[in-house]
Amino acid sequence: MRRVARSLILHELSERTRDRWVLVISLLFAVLASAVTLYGRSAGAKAVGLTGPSLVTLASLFVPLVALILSHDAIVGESERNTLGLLLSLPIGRMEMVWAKFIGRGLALSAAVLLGFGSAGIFAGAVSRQVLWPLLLPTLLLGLAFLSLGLLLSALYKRQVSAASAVVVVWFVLVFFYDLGLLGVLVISDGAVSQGVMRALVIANPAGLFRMQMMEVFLGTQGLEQLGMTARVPVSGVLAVLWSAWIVGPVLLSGWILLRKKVI
Amino acid sequence: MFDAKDSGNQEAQRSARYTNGSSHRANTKEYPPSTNGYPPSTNGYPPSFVFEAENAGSTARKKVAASLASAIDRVVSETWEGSGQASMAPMPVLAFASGRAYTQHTEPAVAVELRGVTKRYGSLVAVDHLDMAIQSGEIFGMLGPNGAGKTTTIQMLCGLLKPDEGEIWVQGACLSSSPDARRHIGVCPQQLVLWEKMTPLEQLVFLASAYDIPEKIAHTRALLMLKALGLWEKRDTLAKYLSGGMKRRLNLLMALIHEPSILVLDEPEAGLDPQSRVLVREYVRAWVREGQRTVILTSHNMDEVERLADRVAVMDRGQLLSLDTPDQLKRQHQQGDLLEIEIADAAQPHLEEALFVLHQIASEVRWEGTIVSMRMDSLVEHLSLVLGVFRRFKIAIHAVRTRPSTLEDVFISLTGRALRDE
Repeated sequence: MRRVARSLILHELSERTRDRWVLVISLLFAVLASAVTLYGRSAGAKAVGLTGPSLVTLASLFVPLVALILSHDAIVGESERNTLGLLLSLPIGRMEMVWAKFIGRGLALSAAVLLGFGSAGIFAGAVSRQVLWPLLLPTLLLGLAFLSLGLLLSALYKRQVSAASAVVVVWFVLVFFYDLGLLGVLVISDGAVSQGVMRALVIANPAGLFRMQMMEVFLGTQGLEQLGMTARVPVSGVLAVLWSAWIVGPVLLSGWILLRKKVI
Repeated sequence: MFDAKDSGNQEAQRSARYTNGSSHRANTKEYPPSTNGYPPSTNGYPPSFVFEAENAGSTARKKVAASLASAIDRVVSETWEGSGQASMAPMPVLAFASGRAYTQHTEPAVAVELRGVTKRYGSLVAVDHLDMAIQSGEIFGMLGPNGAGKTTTIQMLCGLLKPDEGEIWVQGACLSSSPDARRHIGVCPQQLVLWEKMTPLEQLVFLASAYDIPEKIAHTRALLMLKALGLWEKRDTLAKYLSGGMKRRLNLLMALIHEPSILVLDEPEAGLDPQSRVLVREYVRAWVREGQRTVILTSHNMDEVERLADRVAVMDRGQLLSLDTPDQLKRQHQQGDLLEIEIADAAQPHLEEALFVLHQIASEVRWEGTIVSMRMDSLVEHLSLVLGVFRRFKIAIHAVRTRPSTLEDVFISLTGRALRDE
């Protein structure tokens, strides 16, 4: 990796650690994850079945929010502070700059996730191997996918406040309303929509893909069927492709937008 | 001590430089070999503490910073402050820190050359076939009203915009085929450009490392620069807590941290108090003189440009209108001396008749409130005549002021008085 890219990654990481909002939400996530784990531990034998899904819900709410907050100002923020021109005058290409920003902020996100699960691990005791380890990688992937989406918002908007508004909309739509929408489709169509289509619609949203993947881990296939869910998690190869598309796609799109952007 | 540009000797040197033509002639710098293993000193400043710091090996960064801080304090107080040069930029030592001072290198005589550069925005031609050569070692002023094409030219120079036609050559390399030539340029824009959540030291070290400068050298250089521009005490304070003047000075250092050979300054004295203005001006002059470096300066403050620039280009509507030294420009676009007469009362019964007569004497007569200003070729010859007119029409004079022709007069003469859109 070129030195200029490495410097930019470290610069991004160091700046993020001073972001008050990121710190507050990361700490809140850590506190809630610890509380859930502590509560689940008291359930004795049912600890894994109780703690796992609760942490999945918590992660699917908090991690996308932290990721979007972390990245929504990556480009538009620099533009508003007039530092975008300065960054672009460095010996670094625009696409390379976008990747450096993504990696730097991705490291900050990973630190936030590790802080959350790490603090939960202190209370998890023996169940930590069964609950926290399977959660870690998919949670990081979920975070990176939303980080990538936030980066795209930061490239699309000309004002930071507009990008911040878009963050709220994206978070509500993808994390809350998307599943409700699918449920509505099922009810209205009275089951006419095929399982294949429903499955495609679920995995078209990174939050849905994460939930489905984790539910199967903690509840197993039978558990899912008991909940009336017959859709299956894609095989690992397809999963890798899906997560890669969600993470890489928006970053490339952001770079493409920046390449076409006139910087004053 | 830096107003030497008014001395005959310097003027002669400058004239000689401008007669070099625009060909890429080379100035070669050679330095004597070192006898102690360290780079030789070309300036009398001891570089030893820099190397002590570098040789600290694997000592923790904080320890290095602390020892550097005390070393710099000691050297600055003993050497520069002691010799009355406290406000001067310690650029030679910075050069040692980079290892450049003992590197034999060749610089082309022309630092920047624009060849038929054109930039269009739709039907608007922002820069129109601009040809210009800026010499190494000069402070080059660019003047023009809003929309003249100065900012667009600078953005093309920095690689933020690509010209539609023509070529830009920087230190002998064409920017379109060698984008890395951008690293020869440091830009200090008009608006503040910094990261509010980072300290001055962090910002400088980040930018230096982005230009491949090893961290220890970057750190040392940053500390020296902060000391030179009076930001030492604030080196670890977040930028958002700095005053406007401090931020401006930090911006200048951010443009210089990677040791460019060309510095672009856009309104460098905007938002600075008089003390900071003097400090920045001296720092920039020292920077240019020390290393045959080049400054491209744009400003609406004619006084500032006249004081700093060796040569001035006046642009309007994307075209170069005139290019010469300030003195030559004033001679070429001689408008005559200005005489201002302040009358006691604007409601004088015969004022209009007097103005009519004055028009026969002066090339330009203007009346605003109680001020009647006029321009004439030889003020000494005509002064008594003018005063006689006022006496003849019984207009009481409150005050008489004169001033020689300025760069602003040249600017107005070339670009007109019509207001321009922002």
